[in-house]
Amino acid sequence: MAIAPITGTLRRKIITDISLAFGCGFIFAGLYWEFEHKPLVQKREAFYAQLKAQKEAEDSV
Amino acid sequence: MTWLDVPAPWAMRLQDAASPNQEGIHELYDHIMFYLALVLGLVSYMTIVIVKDFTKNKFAHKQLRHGQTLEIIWTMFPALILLLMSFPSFILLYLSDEVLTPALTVKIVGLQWYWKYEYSDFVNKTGETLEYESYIMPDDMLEEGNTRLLDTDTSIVLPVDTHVRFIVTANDVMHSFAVPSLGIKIDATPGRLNQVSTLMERTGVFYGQCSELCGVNHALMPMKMQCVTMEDFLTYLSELSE
Ligand SMILES: [Cu+2]
Repeated sequence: MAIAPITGTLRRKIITDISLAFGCGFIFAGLYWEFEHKPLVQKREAFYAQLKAQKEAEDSV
Repeated sequence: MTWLDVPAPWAMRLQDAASPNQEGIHELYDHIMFYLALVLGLVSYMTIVIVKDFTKNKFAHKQLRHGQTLEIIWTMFPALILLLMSFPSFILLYLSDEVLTPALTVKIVGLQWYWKYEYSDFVNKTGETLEYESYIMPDDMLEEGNTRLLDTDTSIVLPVDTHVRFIVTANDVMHSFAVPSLGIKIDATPGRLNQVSTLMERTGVFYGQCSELCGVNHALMPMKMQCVTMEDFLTYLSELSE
């Protein structure tokens, strides 16, 4: 008796796999964005905001 | 806050930005890094799953000759990622090409192996253009706090918050004028005038190195740029024109 063809192994798992893979990807990317990009931008913006305030204070004197 | 304006030990990222142009480059860099991290996660997960699921399954690929859907997906997805990266890149490229209403023009000439700076908008008491040369500071003349291979005897002095245009050319062979903090890199080609503009948002000292192989001392012709307040700049100019 022949063994039934083994098919569909890819298709059955592919949805789970792709979503999990994208999940991993977005986690990595999100971590980079939150903990690397955002603090840097924040630091820069804070500096220029402070610089602007300082200039305005000097101008009003 | 301390800005990273010179190379530092173990520094991994780009130097800090001092112009909107370089800020744009940082923004683009981070966007691209986002997609890179996304792809890294995706590919790592897929690799692990493939190794785990299929190493012991001898029959898994038996009926699998080709998969059209799969092929479409793995063609379209990278194409989409590339598109997402290229659009902001082109926008930034064409934006930084724009030279709008510069308030000041400085001519920069590359020579073997030093730079010459001309403040073509101003003349000295005898009616000649203000110009001077800038050579690297030799190692034995370095002082505490100087940077080796980056400090020079004279520097380009420019006012803060002012649109400045650089007209760049060369006298002998090709050089390239580059200042990473400002996001500038432009070829200095003999017989050709290239222009680029910048707006420095904060005072400070910014460095650059010749970025086109120009001979034996290619590494020994850095550029040093001092960004000062407008008052200091005017004082500098008047001292220069004495
Ligand atoms: Cu050169």
